[in-house]
Amino acid sequence: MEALEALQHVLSPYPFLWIFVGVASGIFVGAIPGLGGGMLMALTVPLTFSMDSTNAVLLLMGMHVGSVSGGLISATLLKMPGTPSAMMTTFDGYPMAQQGKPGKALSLGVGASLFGGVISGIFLIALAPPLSHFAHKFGPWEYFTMVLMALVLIASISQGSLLKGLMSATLGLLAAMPGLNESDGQLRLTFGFDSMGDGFNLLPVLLGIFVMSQIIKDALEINKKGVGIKMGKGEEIFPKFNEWKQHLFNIIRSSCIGTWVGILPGIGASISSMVAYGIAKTFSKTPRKFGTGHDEGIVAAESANNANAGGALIPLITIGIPGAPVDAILLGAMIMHQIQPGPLLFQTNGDLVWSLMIGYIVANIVMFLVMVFSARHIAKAVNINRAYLIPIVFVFCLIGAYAATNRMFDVWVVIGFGLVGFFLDRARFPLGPFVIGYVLAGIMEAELRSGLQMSEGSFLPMITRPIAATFTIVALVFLGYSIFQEWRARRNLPPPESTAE
Amino acid sequence: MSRNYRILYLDITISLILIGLATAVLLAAKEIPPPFFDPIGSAAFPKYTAYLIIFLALVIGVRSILLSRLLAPESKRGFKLEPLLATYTVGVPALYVFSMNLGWASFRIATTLFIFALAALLSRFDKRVLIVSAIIAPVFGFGGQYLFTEVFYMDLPQ
Repeated sequence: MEALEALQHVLSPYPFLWIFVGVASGIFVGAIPGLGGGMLMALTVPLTFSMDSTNAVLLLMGMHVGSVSGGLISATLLKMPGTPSAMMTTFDGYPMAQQGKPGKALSLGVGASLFGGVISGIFLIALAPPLSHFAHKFGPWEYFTMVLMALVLIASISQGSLLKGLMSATLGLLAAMPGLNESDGQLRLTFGFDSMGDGFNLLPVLLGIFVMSQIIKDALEINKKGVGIKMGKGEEIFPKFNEWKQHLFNIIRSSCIGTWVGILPGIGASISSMVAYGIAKTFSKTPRKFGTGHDEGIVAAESANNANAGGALIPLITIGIPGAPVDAILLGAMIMHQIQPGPLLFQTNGDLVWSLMIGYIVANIVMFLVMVFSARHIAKAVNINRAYLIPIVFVFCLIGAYAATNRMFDVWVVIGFGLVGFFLDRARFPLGPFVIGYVLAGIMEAELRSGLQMSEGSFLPMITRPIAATFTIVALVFLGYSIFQEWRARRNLPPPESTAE
Repeated sequence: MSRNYRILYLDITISLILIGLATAVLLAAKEIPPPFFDPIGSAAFPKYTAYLIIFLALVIGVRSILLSRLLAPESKRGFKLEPLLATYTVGVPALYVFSMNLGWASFRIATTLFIFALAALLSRFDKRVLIVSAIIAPVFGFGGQYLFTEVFYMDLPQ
């Protein structure tokens, strides 16, 4: 019943309009290399302050869905993924376009994206309510160990070394600590500055990490250009059903992979598409064709990266933990609209949750239609000169950071964290763990302190309470496995060649 | 082919900076009052986070030095990096924010000048970009002021 009511609400004029605006702008921005869904969402959050909460969340969710698919356009036509999640699509999308079939490449990608999104939407509707009910059993130790597990997971699975992932997550935790501590009202780590009394607010930090660091990188790499392929006038993007029958098993398998990887807290779409691509290649009858313009490669990558978006909504809605770094922005937007994601969300804001879940499926259908009818036109705009984009994007950053609190300090925070994010990225520290660490630091500390009060200072409940023990064991297993993998990789490195220096 | 020492130097520099930052955090955490209601208090989390940062920074720095012989050659990018333009992308926005912070210029004027100046610098004073940005800049400066204050009801620096 709630699903039907939510469907009726989502298809009414205003909510549907916001979904459409979100998806269309997400596709456009996602198609431009150097921008991305995270940037667009972070810049849009301040604009949603005066909006209805449900419409605001639908708009941002639509942007997320659109941007994941928009990356397909530049990945296929420019060999430059518009978003990191489209990286695997370049392996087969661009070669297929080079063979004179850009329309087919886009058609396969768009169709796979639709199926991936809808399948993960079905999982979302089926799993979120029972998982939310299960999460009612969580106490402080369960929350603490789950956040610990999330941080270890994202540090070990993110690209780059485990050590750098852990450091990035720890820095994110530290960045959340200055200011007033909510557990006891104690001011800390202000270093004598009055402005630091509120600490570093969520929106300026997200704008700095997602937006400012990216535009500095775009300026540094301003000479980087893709080798463009143009689409012929008669080329259609609308997928044909006969072409799809043979890919049905690959779509379902890749969508399931994308959804389940998305459920793991902190893991993003780029990992999903990598795993799905690898498995599709392993089980393919023609593995050697992967990387040369093979249908199966495009289908696997695009199904998985879109399915990841739906899977990542599951931990966000049910436990209040972002399933992917970009979902941290959605979490931030909900908190700013006085909505607390977590096990009680179905009871306190049931209408919003059902609208979000149904809206997600509707957004994927809207994405499909927008892509089919406008991808060729969007492709023409992909090469916008960075010299125009960079200053305009910064102005939006300033407005977004200033609008929330009317403090210039927050704008300086954007610039500061932009530099932090830029240098961490140059030194190959992954930024995903930083964002997740920052967002979850408050919960982690609060739940640990509550837990220790209940256990009179003992840490034993981490291993004596069954659910907490499970999370602790998973964290330790992932940590151990990642250390083993890195040690084995270094052992197998070839001896260094002698060089003329 | 030369080895990629850039990553090594970056790792060591960042490790040293992070050790310095963590030390500052430990010193600041000493001033937090001891716990009253719960076993660990407000100082524990920052302290143990700082200890973890120092430990990880030492491991990263030492590991980078010990494994420097295994560094891979620097991969060819196929395009030239522009560190000067990246510096402009930090410096010019900082000047823009500074000017409004000190009340030297309103949002409208500062934004118009900022967009034009940064676009000109990033394009290396390309004539076409100069003409287009001369049109875009006041649109965003003056139009943006109207849009965000009158339509979205957001406050802007005045």
